[in-house]
Amino acid sequence: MPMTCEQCRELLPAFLSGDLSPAEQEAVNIHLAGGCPGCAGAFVEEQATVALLGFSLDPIPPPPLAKARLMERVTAGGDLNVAARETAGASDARKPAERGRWLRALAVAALVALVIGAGYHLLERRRSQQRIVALQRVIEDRDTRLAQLQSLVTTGQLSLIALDGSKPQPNASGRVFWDKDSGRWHVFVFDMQPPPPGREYELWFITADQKKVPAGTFGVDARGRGELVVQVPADLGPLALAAVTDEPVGGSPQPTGAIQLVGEVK
Amino acid sequence: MATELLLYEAVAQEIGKPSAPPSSEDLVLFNSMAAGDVAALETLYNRYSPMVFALCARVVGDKTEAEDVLIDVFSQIWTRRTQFDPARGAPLTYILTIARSRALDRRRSRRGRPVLDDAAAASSAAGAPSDGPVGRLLAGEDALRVRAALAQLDEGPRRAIELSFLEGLTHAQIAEKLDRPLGTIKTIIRQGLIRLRELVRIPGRDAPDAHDM
Repeated sequence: MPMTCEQCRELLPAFLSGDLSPAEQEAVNIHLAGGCPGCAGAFVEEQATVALLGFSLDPIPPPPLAKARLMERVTAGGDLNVAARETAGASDARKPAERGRWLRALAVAALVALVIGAGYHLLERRRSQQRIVALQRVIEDRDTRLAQLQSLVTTGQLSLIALDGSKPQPNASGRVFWDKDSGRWHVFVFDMQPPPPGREYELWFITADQKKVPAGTFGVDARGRGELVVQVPADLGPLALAAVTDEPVGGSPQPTGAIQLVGEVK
Repeated sequence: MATELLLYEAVAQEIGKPSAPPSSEDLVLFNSMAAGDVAALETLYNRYSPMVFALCARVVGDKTEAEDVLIDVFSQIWTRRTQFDPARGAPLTYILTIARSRALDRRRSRRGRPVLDDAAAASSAAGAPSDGPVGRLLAGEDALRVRAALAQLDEGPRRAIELSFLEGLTHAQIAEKLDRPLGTIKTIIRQGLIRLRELVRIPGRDAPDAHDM
């Protein structure tokens, strides 16, 4: 039998305090859910009346940490409205885990930057050391060349050999300063064409008995200029000619290319 | 309204308890929470946590457990913030209903007694807007007047109501404790709640409801 409104309202206090039997509770639920507006309103009023009991108590400030625990739990839910939170200025409500992630990300970024910086520093340091070594070699070469030129200028026995361009390069020319004190030839060439790809120029000592001795290889710059300093072998014997041919890169034991320059040794 | 506010402040001063803010401010806070504003929850907590904590401590009987319940209450308010319907009761009614329900759950689970159905959920399930006087009373500045009304209840009904709704005793336990017949206890609780509603009514403003007749 359906519950009447009078029966329902009589049971509402016990319904709210959980003192009804399962059958009675089910009956009240059915009655309220059945759309009886009077009893539904009475239930809400009864419930509000019970809520009044909270006012009969003296307020007690909760422990200070309770609020922090609440905000931590709430913000850990991850469904905050960021805009609203920023508007409210509730920056202290930011999720601790999120702060932790940001801090970890920043730490990783800082570490990566540090490693990259340290690596770049080490690389630059190594490059600088390489540049220093290269510059030291340049300086040493220039010191050697300067010493050779000083020797050439100050030598007591100096011979000059003029080199003339032959048929392939008639406009080319050269000079050989023979420092007989040191036994060195200082060779300078002018207006020579660059050698063909895979080839370079080679200087030859040609003795009186037509023996051809390789003296060294060299290249020319954009203006067709090149130079070479070579030591004349002491046991070479009387020299008759100086000649320049084009040879495969690395030089040849005997001339194979055309003669580019040639001069008589006097 | 100005007269009521003066009365409200006077009662608050007389009983030495803090003034409750107008309910319209609470509605704004609930709307802000529904939009995801956690700062609004913080404001509600600052405003009502002493009242809720006192209720939880009374029901649970232990402040450490009451702190846990307090956090559960405001967490539930936050997670269900979009479900609050102002047509069915004032925000403070909603908060206190959840608080009492959660605290009784904690107390009864400790004693092995089946927990209550969620009273707050039952409120929504009931579905009817609260146009009655008590529902309006809790809508703001009348709240402290309720305390004076509670003090006017006879000792028997007030004690039975407190044992039932604040301490979670069954009607049978209350009957034994107060040495009264079970039927009498059921009657004085029901009549005590009716008397309480009458005491908190403002004459000339709150007409009796049809369901009170």
